[in-house]
Amino acid sequence: MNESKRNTTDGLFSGYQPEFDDITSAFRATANQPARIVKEAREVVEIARAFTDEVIRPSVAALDAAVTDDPHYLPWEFVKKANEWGLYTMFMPKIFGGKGYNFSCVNFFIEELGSACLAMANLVGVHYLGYGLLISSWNLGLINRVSRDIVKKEKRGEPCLVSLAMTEPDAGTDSQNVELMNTGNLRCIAKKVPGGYSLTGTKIFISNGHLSNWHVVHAYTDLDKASENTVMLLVNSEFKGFSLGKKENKMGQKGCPASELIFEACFISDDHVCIDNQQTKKLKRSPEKTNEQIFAYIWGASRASVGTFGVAGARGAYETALKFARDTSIRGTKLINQEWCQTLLARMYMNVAVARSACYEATQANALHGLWKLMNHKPVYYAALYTPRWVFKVISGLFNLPVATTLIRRINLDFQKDQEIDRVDGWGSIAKVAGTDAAMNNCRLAMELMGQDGIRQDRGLEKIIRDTRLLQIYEGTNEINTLNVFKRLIRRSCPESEVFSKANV
Amino acid sequence: MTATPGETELKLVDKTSAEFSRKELAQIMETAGCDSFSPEYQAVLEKAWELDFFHILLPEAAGGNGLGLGSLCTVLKNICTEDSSLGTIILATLAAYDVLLESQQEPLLAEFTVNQNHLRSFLIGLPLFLNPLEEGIDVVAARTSAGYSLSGSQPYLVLAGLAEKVLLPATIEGEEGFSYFLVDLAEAGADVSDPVVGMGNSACPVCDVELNNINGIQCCDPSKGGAIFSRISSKLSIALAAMQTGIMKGSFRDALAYTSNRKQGGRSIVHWSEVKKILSDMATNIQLAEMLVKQCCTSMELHEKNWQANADAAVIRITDMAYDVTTDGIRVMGGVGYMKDFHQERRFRDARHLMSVFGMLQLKKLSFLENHISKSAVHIA
Repeated sequence: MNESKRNTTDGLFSGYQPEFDDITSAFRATANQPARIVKEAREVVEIARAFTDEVIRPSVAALDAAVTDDPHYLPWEFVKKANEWGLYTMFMPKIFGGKGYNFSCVNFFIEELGSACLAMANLVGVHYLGYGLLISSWNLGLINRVSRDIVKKEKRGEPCLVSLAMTEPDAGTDSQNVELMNTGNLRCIAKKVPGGYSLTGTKIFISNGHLSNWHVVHAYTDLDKASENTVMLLVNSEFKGFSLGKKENKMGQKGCPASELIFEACFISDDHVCIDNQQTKKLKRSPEKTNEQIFAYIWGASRASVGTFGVAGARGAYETALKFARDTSIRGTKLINQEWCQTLLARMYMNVAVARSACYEATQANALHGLWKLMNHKPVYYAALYTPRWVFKVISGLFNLPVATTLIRRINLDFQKDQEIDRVDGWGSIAKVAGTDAAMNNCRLAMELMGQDGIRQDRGLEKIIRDTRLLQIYEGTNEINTLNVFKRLIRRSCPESEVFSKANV
Repeated sequence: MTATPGETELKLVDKTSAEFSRKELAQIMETAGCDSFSPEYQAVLEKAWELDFFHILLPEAAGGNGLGLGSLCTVLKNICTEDSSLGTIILATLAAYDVLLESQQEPLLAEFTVNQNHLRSFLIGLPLFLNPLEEGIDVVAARTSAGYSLSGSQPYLVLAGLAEKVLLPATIEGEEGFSYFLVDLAEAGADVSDPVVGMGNSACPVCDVELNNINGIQCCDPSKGGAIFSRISSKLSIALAAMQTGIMKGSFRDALAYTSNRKQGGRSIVHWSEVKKILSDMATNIQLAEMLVKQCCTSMELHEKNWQANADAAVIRITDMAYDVTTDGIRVMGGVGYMKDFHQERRFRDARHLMSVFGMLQLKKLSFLENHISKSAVHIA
């Protein structure tokens, strides 16, 4: 038996790499998930298409131009419209007051919005990134409170968004990988004070920062050993000591602000601590491993979504090129009837399809082992579906009991196997790279096809190219994600190897 | 070793243009940005004109200094290291002049080049991004008692709005092929749009133009328009390749500086093996591009049989390289590479913008075989 066989999971043939489960998430999820999810997905796509046609398409160019003319412009009008349509509570579980659409459907939704405008899709999608990180802490009381705040404000016509704050001025990659935290340049410090934490530091490139009411912030109680002293704090924009800094002037995705968040001795009370070492000390994994596990939960889900943004960008470029080919003649023949152009368009279509499949596999890895595993469990799914909302409202006080959070953390953190963490996180990275590279490839092909029409802003492709480039950068650069695939899915075949090894760090 | 006279001139051109780019052009990009109509940018344009960068390719008899394509490529490479808009303004003007030269319109040419004391009268606009042989022409010329009257649409006309006159390809009723016509856009009947916003080259103005019975001076016989386009596009494709090389050099320079200073995991990221690999790829591409441009210039100036094939092949590959290098230039800088505070995002846009000079890149790739295989079969084999 070779080394890789001895070091892998139990079960017949489990020693072979890749493991059966590593490459069959979508296949296995089909058998496991409630059949009704397909119906939900259809509904979600219908809503997304209606919203895209009614709200997004008519204002794509106008929003981009508004921010170009005034870099301080904030897209409140769009956010309010999305709020009216209920998009900020759409994928929030019903038990917390949300509309309860299954999270497995979120990427279908993102693709539709993003194929028309990546910036506007981000104005909706990034909210679920912040909310997803909050869920990754499995702090039920806090999740319940924030969710109900969002629902309440939505009803009042006041959009209430959540952002995720991780990147710092001198720490991008350092802030996202436990292996790099201790030698990196992290500066956001959380000092324990009576009744909570005092938070000081700066976060940058925070998507939707200027638009969000709540910010889920990563900070550190010991900067020299940040990997094992990370705290996740929930900060409201109205907290004393919090302020908004500059809004970045970006090449693309201009409609979605990238913000600087400044914390100056900002007091965060204990009941706004999502998770810290005090709360995790009874878990089976070490603080550093738990930290890494929480990263895997959020990256597994959010990178599948960024990959889907890529699918959307690739689709947008393909659709723009297709329209051009139908409208344009070269040497007296419509491009759409020239074989080389047909194969070019087919290549673009295939890029979209292959990337979508990778993202779908990642999405289903999450459904089986990741962020929404519990909600996809058939008894939980149908109980949530058929239980009247008032029942959840009545029992929501139970979520504040410490035992509820302890129980849910036991299920989601202690019971999650190492191989499941690898699978979810590894496939998140595969999806992210596959989707965003497909987008860049399609932009290139479309540009080569469209000539001067490709470089004109009023023809659409130019904006898609500017928007798409960012996808390869945020949520971990594609290079870091590629390395993460080695770490999560390849390294187990060669246990002697190191990732982020001392040779590099 | 003593430099030959040609080498001495080339070194001087290199030094002058590099200094101008670094000290004046780069400065303007930091402060005034890319607005061709701003007083600061106008001053830089005038300075480039005074330094004779617009005259390099013109023969001395036509009021130029006849330094040749090698010198032009050197100037454009240095300029585009900082800003490709100015490079495109020079390229468009010289392409228009080349059309006049190829059309043997020396007297017409002299009207622009001799005794001109301001730049705007010297500039001539041209639809630089159009391949009239492949993509079709919307402007039609009708004979009149006084000459020709032009009507139709000309989208994406480079330097319209800045230059007083433009050269347009137009078909003539009842005749095959197309002619180039010189048109004064100030005449009644010319409707010039607001500047068209494009991917890059923000300081090089471009407008859509509608013509309604406007006078045009015919510059060449319609049977010759295609051959003229083919020759000037091949020749100036070498200059275009030099511009792309300059953009790559700027991107690499800034990427190297950033990665040397930026630390992650406690170490400069330039020492991370993956980053090193990307930077090496960038440097390799630049090295190759410079070699190709030099080889193409020599090939053309020696009138080698296959110089057009060399030029067309080089620009296709160098365009691909510039696409990759400017993508990598952002890649190694992460989030800041995407922000307007740095220049990488502008180079990324400019490289894509220049992809379509002289027509769609896909068509350049597609037509290479039929344009050159019969002429260069021996060399390709």
